Amino acid sequence: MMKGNASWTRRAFVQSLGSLCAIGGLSPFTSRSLPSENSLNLSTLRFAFIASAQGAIHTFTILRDGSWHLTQQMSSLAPASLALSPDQRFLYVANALESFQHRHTGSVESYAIDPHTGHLSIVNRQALALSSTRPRHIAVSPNGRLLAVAVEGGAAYNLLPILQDGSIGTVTASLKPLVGTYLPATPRASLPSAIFFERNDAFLATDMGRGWITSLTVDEDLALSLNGHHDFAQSGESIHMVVCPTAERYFIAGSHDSTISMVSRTLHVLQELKLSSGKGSSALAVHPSGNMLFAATTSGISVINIDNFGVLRASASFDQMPGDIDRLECSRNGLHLFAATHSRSAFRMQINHQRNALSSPLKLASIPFFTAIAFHYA
Amino acid sequence: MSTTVNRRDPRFAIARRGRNLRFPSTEADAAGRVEYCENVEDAAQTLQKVIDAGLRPTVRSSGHCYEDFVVNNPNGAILDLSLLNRVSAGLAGSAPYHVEPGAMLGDIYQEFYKRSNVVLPAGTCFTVCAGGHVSGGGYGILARLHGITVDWVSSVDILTVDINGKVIQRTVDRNHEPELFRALRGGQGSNFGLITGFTFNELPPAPQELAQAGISFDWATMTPEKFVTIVTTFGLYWEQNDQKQETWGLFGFMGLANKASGRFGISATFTGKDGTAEDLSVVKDFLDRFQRCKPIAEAPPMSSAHQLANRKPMVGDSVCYGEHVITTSPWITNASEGGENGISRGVRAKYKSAYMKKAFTEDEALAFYRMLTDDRSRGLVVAVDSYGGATNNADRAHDTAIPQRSSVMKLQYQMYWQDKAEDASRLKGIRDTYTAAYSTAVADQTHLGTPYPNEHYDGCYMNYPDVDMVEHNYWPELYYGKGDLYPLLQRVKKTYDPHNIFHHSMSIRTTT
Repeated sequence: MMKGNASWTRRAFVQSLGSLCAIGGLSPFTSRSLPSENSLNLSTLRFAFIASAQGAIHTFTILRDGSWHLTQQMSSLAPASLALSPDQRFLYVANALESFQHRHTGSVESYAIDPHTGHLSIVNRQALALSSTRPRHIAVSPNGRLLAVAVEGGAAYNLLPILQDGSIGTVTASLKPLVGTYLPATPRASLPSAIFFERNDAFLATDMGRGWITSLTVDEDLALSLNGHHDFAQSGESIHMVVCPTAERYFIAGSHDSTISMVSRTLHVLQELKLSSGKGSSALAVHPSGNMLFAATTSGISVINIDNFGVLRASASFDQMPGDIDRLECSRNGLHLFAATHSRSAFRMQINHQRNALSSPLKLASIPFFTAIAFHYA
Repeated sequence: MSTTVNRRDPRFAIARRGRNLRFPSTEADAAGRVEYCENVEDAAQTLQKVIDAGLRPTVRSSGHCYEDFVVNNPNGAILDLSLLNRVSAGLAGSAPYHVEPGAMLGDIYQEFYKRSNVVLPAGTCFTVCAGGHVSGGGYGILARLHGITVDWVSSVDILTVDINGKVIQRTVDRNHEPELFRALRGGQGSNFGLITGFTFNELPPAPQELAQAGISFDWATMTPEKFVTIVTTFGLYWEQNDQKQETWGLFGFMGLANKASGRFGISATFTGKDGTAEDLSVVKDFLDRFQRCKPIAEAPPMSSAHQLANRKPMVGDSVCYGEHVITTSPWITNASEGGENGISRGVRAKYKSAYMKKAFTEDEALAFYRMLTDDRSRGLVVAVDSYGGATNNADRAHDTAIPQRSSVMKLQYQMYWQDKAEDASRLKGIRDTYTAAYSTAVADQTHLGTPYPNEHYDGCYMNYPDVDMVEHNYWPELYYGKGDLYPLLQRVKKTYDPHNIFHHSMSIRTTT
């Protein structure tokens, strides 16, 4: 069921215009590029890796007809987040542990990926910094040399080098932001939740405990420094963030508020869009063309159009999802949107790019205690 | 402000490490900077700066930490307090007595001796500083006579980090934040904050004299039977005399070294309740018990267990049956030895510990014999110190964080080596010996391989930390007992370090 909806604030509109003017007028920052059969051939989805908190990573081979077939179940300690190396030769895994090798810390793992079968083989396991328990999210730097970890338990960020053989080296830095930790009225601890590399030596991190986005840099000694933080949501609100692949933009949404924010690399708000449905967002995905944004809300999936001037316009909502969504990801070829629900299932929807519409969801797999998904392309 | 030594500073190679050269474990584990603080304000400002930068602070007084607690701190900040080292007393040397964390024990002995003619009953290594030593318990050759160091602490000055990330200066005593005060008397400052001072409202008078004697035994002529006799005799003495106050001035040390060392020895130091060493009957009685084992008389030993490993056999040893070579010297002279090197070259080392409530059994002694005659334990010394006496005041288990109040001996396993290539074999040697020692019939059969508290053992000493013990999920019981202490420490940790800023591989865990 598609429903029209659109509302965005006057303040956001003004901000948007001001920001766009500031970066060089109202010229389009990207041209609409529709996915084609060619792009499908160029980036065929080959494998999907799904992590389960029950201690396994499931490898699915994706056939040409789009069907998924489970081909391997690799034991892992407590996989909570997955990240592929840029060359897709290695899969990195965060283990949400309270204790690793008897120490009060979580761990990360490196797996080599067989390019023909997608099967995983362990390369190494590495401890996080002491007190860095329950890692929640990992990200690999664009050059594939660094692994950054958002750690919920120790409320910290860890940095580890990735070595030539794909193995993970020992922690080089652990940073625990405490500045202005608590608002007296609503005490909330920091809960680092996700990381986005901006460059090889800088990343942004969302903090769902405080509703912050924190900016960190990496120096030549592989130490971490705090650059600052920006308030984006209510304290205690989950923040979801995606990077626009075609422009220097981030899209940010909170779990308690139905506003989607488009921000610059410097985290200045360019536009805020208030969705009319749902009380907040639980996941975001952006289309590889940069022209569509998908937001999972309590009411389903909202489809947001990004026009040629980079302005967000909510265009439709889609309420046929069976269960609350906690992961969304768009395929690289732009043809499919994948969703994973709390009810432990993975679904695929076809994207009708021209109509800003989604097909009915097709159930692909059912994984108990689903925690993370990663896609491997040919 | 503090003096910062970062990775570009030529002093960094020395500043980043402690005395145990095993740490930092890797280059990546090294801290990013060392901050030398000269006063309390320095320390508070620097700690706040470090917290604001999101870095992990670890705190160092002298760098004697046996494990990786301080220098394994990847790109974090070590706050070095060795310059925060004042020792002071009240008017005309009267109480209260105050010690800053960077004060070396040898300096504390001298300064209190000169100013006030009092002594802080503490350790035997001159260069160990107060910060870690006192907050972790502290004991030495006066322990049987005067108790352990924390028994004398009246208040502690500490910087903690509150829930807002703000550094707070506190002075805690039995009336002000008493749970934190108790925790800091044996529970180690490294769990809760940065200690900037200890105050003692009362201290015992400094001894005038110290008598010393030593005997040793040749491994070449050693038999299992003779070894068992020596070891069990040593232990039995302390078990039988634990409550005999006339013996409390006696401190005994048995250094069980691997066979390759050639010999192992026993030493005794004595100062009477009156501070003199005029009546040596207690010492002679102790030494007489080993005569049937035909010991070799030793030169007066160094009282520091740390120095034993480097001890060489005397040239021209005199075999002395029926007589003991006992020398007497001014106590302060002895207490001042070993202060020649504040910044040590360091050595690779591994340590373990155990408290014993009873004498060694024959099986235990044989376990030691087997392991010490095995090449695996080459370089190992099992230093067995006398304990008990005044330390076994059961009431102090309730107002300090040292629950071991019924032990008669305290063991320190020490393995030293220089070459990193030997790490694995050396660690295996000390681990195997330790496991063998606590796998006899007197060990708790459900906790084999450890001195789990029971009728015979009373766990381990936190100032001799051993990260191997965290392999056992019951490790807090080894160090803090089975009573209400660890829950109290967890409560204090949650209250005073809500962000777990001060943590290390054996710190108080508030989550399972």
